[in-house]
Amino acid sequence: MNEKIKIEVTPNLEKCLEALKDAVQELPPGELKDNAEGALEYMSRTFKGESQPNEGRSCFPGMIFIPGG
Amino acid sequence: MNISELTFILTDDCNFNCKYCYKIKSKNFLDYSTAFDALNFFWPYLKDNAFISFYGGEPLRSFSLIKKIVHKVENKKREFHKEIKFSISTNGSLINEHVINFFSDHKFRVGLSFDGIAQDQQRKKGSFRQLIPVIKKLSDTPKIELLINSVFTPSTIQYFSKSIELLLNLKVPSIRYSLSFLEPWDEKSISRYKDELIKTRGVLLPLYRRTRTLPILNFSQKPQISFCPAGSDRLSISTNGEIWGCPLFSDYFERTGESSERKKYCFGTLEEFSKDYDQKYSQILQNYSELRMDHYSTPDRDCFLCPDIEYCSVCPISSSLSGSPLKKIPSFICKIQKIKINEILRFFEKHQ
Repeated sequence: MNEKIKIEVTPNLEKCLEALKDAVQELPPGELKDNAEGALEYMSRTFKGESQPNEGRSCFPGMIFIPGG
Repeated sequence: MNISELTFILTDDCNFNCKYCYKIKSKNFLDYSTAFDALNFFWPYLKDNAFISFYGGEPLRSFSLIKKIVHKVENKKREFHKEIKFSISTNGSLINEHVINFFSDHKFRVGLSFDGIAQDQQRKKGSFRQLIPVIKKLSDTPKIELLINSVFTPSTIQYFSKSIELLLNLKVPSIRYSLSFLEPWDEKSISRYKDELIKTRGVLLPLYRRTRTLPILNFSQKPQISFCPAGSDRLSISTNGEIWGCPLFSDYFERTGESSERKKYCFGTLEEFSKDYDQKYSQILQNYSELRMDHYSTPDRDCFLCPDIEYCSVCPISSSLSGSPLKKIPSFICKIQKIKINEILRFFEKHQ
């Protein structure tokens, strides 16, 4: 559980990401652009080996209450 | 297993009838022998600084069992040199001098549910006046770590900032707030929440600049990527002796009655679990491990595509209490999260 997996990518894949980021900038504002930017951001973080969402913060121990936002 | 918190759900009964409570109440109580068998079984897997927590219903309805468990744990602590800590989530109505002394003697973290100005409206009429002296006494007892949790709903959100101010004035050392998602939030309530957060930010900024402390836990750390720790380092024992990743799961499935989903998250009774715990634990843990932000979705998109995922934190049970399936986040919760993230990030920008 919570093992950090660092993905190694080739320089060409890094270049692919940059090319796609440039291309997305040309899209008109809207859902398609938002989702494409989100996808590229997610890939970018993964390539950098940054925290994935099963890491980070969890609720504190010793503090169970009715949960909520 | 490496457990940070082992929770005993001591009873499903409560002397309050809070409007937003999701719990199906009953007269069930955890029995002495199941509690002790669970403690003995899980003891080797408790981290050195783990919490033994008491939950309900109202757990102080079973104060005699709390005393027995604490006594047993204190003996085991000495024998095995573990720094086990205790915590309780209570409505505070059964706290008296004797209970306070007991909490103090055993250095309890006391989580008190108190809704500030909305207390009488949401929880129990007359309980506001009853609890103010209890809060003062708990705050003034050095060996007790007091945390107050306040819950707000669409019909009480207008009391949010005033309630937080009240708790700050009472010098409560740790305050946390939650929003109940049992009923949906309309645009007007969401907008009211935003206004109330802005007002609260206005109160917290000068306080922080003056004292360099921030008792509101929701504001004390920058929003961060999150995951549900249920099952991975938390386990709980329900009143019928079943093992769950977190007490909220047993309550949720008691409420929905969904048997196929229930099987995915219940580790079985202690007796069943102890026979084959290695295999059973990893099998069920796999299902809990799926509960992470990048596996959730809203009606509009997969959460992993959202630019705010790095800051977002949604309790899967909290979201599903709105009637949505697990891992499906309703739109109104997504909107609320975005407002919270934005306001807390602004707070951090301003105080740095």
